[in-house]
Amino acid sequence: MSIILLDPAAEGVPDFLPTADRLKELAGKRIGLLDNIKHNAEYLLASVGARFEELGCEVKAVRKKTYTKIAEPHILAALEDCDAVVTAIGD
Amino acid sequence: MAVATRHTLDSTDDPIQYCYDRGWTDGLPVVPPTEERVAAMLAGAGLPRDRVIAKIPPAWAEATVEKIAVNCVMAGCLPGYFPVVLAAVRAMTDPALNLNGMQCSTHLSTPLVVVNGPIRAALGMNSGSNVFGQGNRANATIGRAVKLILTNIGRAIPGVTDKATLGHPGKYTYCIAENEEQSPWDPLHVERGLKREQSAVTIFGCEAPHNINNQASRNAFDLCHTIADTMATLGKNMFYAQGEVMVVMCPSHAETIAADGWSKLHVKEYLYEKARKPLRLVKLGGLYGREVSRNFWPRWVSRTDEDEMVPLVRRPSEITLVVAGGPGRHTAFLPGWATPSVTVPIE
Repeated sequence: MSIILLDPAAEGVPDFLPTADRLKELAGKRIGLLDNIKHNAEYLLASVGARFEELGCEVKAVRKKTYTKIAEPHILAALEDCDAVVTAIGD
Repeated sequence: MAVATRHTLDSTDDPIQYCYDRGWTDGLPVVPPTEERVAAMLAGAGLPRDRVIAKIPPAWAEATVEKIAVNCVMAGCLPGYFPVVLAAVRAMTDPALNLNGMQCSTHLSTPLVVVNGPIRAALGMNSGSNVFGQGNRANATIGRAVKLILTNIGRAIPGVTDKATLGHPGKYTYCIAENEEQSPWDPLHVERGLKREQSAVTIFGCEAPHNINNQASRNAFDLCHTIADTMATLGKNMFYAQGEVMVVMCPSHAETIAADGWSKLHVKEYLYEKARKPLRLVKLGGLYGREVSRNFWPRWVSRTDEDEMVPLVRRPSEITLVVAGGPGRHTAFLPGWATPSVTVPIE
């Protein structure tokens, strides 16, 4: 006799969000820097931003209010016109 | 997804092993969630299976009545426990708790379930000896069901989306009942505006309990000093991010303190004033170290005076006091994650 089990897990949501398309070239692109305010994030992103500028990118830096929460809508809105975004930092 | 997918097993399949193979367990064997068992879990609830109680982060997947019941079956719950788990899901998804952050943090905190009111006795819950420990089906399986919901529906996968550096044993199960009968004070849910005869669940994201041994003190000052000293140790999230902490006090300690005329508020005020650390030590750790201006302290806390005593929390009301446990003179301190506890009635 077969047994039927009910699925206990998440359904109707993707397993993982797909990775965004990578930029084919950087010159002239606008790069967002999202600082989650964790320790050293601003220093790391400053270095990353400087490197992007050397490569001909425009850099746009924004900062979250707290690292534990999802970025507020106005923060995400500020990044909408970017071609790519770099965020930092994990622990 | 309104209704859970049904998986048909071959007659040769071991249903327990099948649950392991699908990644549905916490590492311990689960009760296979068959149609019959899930129907029994739902029988007394009077709720449609497809009703969405909440969305569980980080997947933000729908926790329907049926999905919650499936996880309750797997945890080993009896049907009478189901309303407690439903209330726990409602409480832990209150935005104030920031469950998304807690589920994914490198910090080890996890939701603790505290049950109050008449349902404790109705379900035979343990509020006495070994209250945080093993041995009681209701405590163990209600707590376990909550954890299975967090991993199965919320998809907080250890090492993948749950980035806890260490985790703690409360990630298997973490549920207690308050020992209201032996408390000299109002129980937690009454403090929060509910009637004593109303059953309730409180969820608090916290570390594991840390024991406070004080068998000698026979007055409120000495006892509370011991508790405050244990609370005020470096490394707690609170000294940097503030938030809430919980003290689970044994009935004997509570009796001694209350006999000196102290109310719950007196205890909280004392602990708030005394559980502090000087700035010169606090700046050694936390998230920002010597960049103390970045910490989330009240404005009155000096960022420059090395002897400034930094409070563990912003105000006395952020010290939650629960009476639980059996005979003996041991209290526990539960450091928080940085967010408040949430209390909801059990419907």
